[in-house]
Amino acid sequence: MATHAPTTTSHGAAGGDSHGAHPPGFAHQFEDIEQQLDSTTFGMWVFLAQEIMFFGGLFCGYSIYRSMMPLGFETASNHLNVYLGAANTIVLILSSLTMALAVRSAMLGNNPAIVRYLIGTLILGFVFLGVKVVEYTDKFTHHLVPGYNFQWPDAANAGGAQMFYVFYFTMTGMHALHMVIGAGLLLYFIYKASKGTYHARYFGPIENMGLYWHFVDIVWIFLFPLLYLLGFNLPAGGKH
Amino acid sequence: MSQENHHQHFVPPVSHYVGVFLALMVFTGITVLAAKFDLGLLNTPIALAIAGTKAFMVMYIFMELRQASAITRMSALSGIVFLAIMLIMIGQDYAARHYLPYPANWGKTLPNSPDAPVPAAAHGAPAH
Repeated sequence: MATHAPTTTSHGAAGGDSHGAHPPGFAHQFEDIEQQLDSTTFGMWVFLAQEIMFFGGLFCGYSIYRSMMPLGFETASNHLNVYLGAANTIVLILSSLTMALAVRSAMLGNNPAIVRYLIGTLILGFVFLGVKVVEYTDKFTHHLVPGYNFQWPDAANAGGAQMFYVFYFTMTGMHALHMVIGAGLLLYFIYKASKGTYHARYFGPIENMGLYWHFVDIVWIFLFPLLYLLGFNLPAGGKH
Repeated sequence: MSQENHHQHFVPPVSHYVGVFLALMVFTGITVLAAKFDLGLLNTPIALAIAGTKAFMVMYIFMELRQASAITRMSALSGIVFLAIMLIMIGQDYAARHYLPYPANWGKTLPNSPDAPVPAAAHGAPAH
């Protein structure tokens, strides 16, 4: 365990930084709290690059199978409820707004505002997941779950339609799992902010929470047109 | 608590964030509207272009790439670049594999391989 005396003398004088003691939240392996923020932000982005590749594999598989079975994908997409999907898009982008405002409050060191905005984000996240439950229930009752009860009247495109729902459940399911994990993280940060943890020089954890939440939002921004809007121009007769 | 920190972390006013949110709503409306029409092959490129624009706005403003360090911007870009490499290389494989000739015995089991089916005569008759 390092004593903090050498750190204050070497870095306090060098940068013209007059603050003597370490600010709260400073971890001792870092040079100073600015370098700590840069390092944690960089690490979060490297993690998100890995997440891009993870979801990218799913998008890649979707593209290939859709190119093989275009008609099955389109008619299957036509059964999804575009209005529920659009409503969820609005809810999720609104939650990104409250999340961004929570990060802004963290930069200003306003812990009560962080708590308010994070609770708003959490509620919107649960609204999204609630709509998702309604949609999944509809798929179960209409025999659209691959490997469980899948039925499709148009035999020529049944394979493609089933493959579409494989990707629908995998992609929205992984997305929803990320939302659930995000909700758990939000609860933790609501607790930490309610204790007055963050201040104008220590807001990295809230910022990284925001990066994660916005990333999940971006995944949905691509999922919505590719899954819901694909068959939107077909006549409603595509439904069965 | 206000401007006394030396890090110069610019904190935009709330109106910036609300403006981005409203722009994202407008683009969401446009993409739903555009999908209602059958534009043939153009439907998906238009939808992806709008989604890409929305994603850029979220990354640039909400995720603060606007004021991020060079290495942070580069790591964000690297994820997109490697995604593009994956999509292009796998896509060209699937697009081109039907056009290339390949040896006629590919995909067939050779007679003396361990996976070859056991001849029917070998089942009943014991070795003599």
